[in-house]
Amino acid sequence: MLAFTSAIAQGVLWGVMVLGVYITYRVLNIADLTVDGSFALGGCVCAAITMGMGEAANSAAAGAATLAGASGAASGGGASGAAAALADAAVAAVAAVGGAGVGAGTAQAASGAPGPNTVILVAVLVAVLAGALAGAVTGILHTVFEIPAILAGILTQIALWSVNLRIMGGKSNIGFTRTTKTLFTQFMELTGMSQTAVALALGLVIALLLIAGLYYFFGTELGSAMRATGNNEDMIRALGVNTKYTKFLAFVISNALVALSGALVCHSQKYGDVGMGTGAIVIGLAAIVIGEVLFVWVRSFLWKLVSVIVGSAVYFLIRATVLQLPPPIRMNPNDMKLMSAVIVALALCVPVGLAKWKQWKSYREK
Amino acid sequence: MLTLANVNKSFNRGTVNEKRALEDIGLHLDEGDFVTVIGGNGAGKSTMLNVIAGVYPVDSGTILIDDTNISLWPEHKRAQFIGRVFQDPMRGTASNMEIQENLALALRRGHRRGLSWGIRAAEKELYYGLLCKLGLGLQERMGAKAGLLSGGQRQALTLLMATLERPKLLLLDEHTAALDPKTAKKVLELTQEIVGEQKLTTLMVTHNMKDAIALGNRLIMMHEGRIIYDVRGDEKAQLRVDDLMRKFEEASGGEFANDRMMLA
Ligand SMILES: Nc1ncnc2c1ncn2[C@@H]1O[C@H](COP(=O)(O)OP(=O)(O)OP(=O)(O)O)[C@@H](O)[C@H]1O
Ligand SMILES: [Mg+2]
Repeated sequence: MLAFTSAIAQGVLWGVMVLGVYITYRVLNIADLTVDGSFALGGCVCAAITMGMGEAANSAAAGAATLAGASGAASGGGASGAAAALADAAVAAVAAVGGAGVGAGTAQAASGAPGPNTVILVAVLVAVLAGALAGAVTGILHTVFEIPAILAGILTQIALWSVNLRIMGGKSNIGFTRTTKTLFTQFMELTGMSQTAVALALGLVIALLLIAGLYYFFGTELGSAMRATGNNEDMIRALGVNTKYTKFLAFVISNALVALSGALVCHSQKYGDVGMGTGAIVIGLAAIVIGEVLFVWVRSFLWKLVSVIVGSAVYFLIRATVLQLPPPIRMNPNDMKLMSAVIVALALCVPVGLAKWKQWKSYREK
Repeated sequence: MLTLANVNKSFNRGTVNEKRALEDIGLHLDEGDFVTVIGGNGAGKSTMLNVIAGVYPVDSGTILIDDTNISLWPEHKRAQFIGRVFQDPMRGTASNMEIQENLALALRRGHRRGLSWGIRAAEKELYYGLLCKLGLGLQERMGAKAGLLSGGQRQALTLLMATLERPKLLLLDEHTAALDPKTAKKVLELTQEIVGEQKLTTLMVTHNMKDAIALGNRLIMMHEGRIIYDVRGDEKAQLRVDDLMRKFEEASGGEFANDRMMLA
């Protein structure tokens, strides 16, 4: 039972990623392969800052300057690469702001070192910003330089592999210690609930807030223009919308959400890994497809967004189930990616196959 | 109002497939001119409308709207001045979006789109009234997806959308060509009504010579990327299809008016 609840919780946290994929895949009609990279980016940035800044706080080195230096060390050990330098700058800037603003009330902030809540907030925020930046890169490659969307996404994804390793100081993995405070442990302390319950509750609250936000956004003038861009680009351009801009913005928002999901998953599993995003896009597409099958009758955009989260939860539930079946039919975890790919491929093949079959059936010689 | 001066446009420049689609086009439209455009296949009619709308840039020459030089403006920026209806009914509306959402998108042509709600309650009343006037019963289906409409209904809606926020210039490229004769007639009547009511400066491409003569106050004929005939006022009002055919044969050096030119 607990395993299933935790699978659902995991599904909801990954569901935030699926919301991002939904924006590019269903609203814009583009499969954005940046996702694998930006999910890991969110996780890696979050892990690096949580451990980097957290340690700085523990050793009470004091002062935003040292803090920036510490997280700089964590994210590459030196400014040998432009990407790492950029990440350092972002970390330092947000850390300074976060340290000064958010944690102002806490005792630690008074003594100069950031409190655990500040560290967590900064880690998640910087992860989101990094994801937005990754989306911006793909967006610019696709809109300004007219590289096909799939290829633009692959380029960013591949580049992010190296960037993520740099962010984690050359390591492929940053694990938290037993005492490391995470978003979830903080809420466990606050509410006394179990890890799984907190993950599920917090995941649901975040997902619902995001759904509300996205629903509002896609109802606004700008959001409507974005939807129209995916539906009929010629038409909306003739109505005065710069479709390069709406597409760019969609990539940014989408990958910001994906990175947020990566950060949440990082905190829930207590480590960040350079490979944690591998196959994320296929999981996202599978979850969207499952959600659409479960909610076929749904027409309103709001419920479509809900179906995305449900689809993701169901995907992880299926996954947990097939991994726990009795031995002869139990699935090998290594086969999970195969299963996701098959689900997506089937979903894409079935409508085409059905149409061809109908055509063939209805053919009469006379 | 609209001025084209020495406009040239070639496709596939520098290759064996090079095609000069517009050659040194000069054209001036006065405020309120309703100009019909005829010419054979490949004469450059669509290309002329497309370079005005900014679908692709011109090779040389200038395009002015009210003394603003828009020659180098991107398409979406020119849209603040220009309303368009395409030949293909599918191109004019967003099929996955509601009729009223399509109208709301069109109402914001030329305005900055921000984070305020995409459609206001008061707008819906405006749309209801306008759709009533179309006489197609669409006012009762404002929440339906535009993809459910027939080709004629879509063209009528697109026409309404193009003129919802009064454009300085209306570009119609064979916007009734994909419709059956009865529906085409209806959409053409609607065009006349809207253009007359709002006194819109209009360029309308058509292959129907009778329509070209009957509508508007001016007619131009294109051939191989040039404007070869330009009549207006009384002279145009007295034109007959025969005259146009003769004119075409004359200008094209004895070449007979082709099949599509003869559709009348
Ligand atoms: N995008 C393009 N690429 C290459 N050549 C083009 C392109 N668009 C038009 N042309 C060529 O330019 C010439 C003019 O085409 P245009 O579409 O303007 O003709 P038209 O007068 O609208 O003809 P029709 O009556 O068939 O619509 C044609 O020879 C056409 O093949
Ligand atoms: Mg044409």
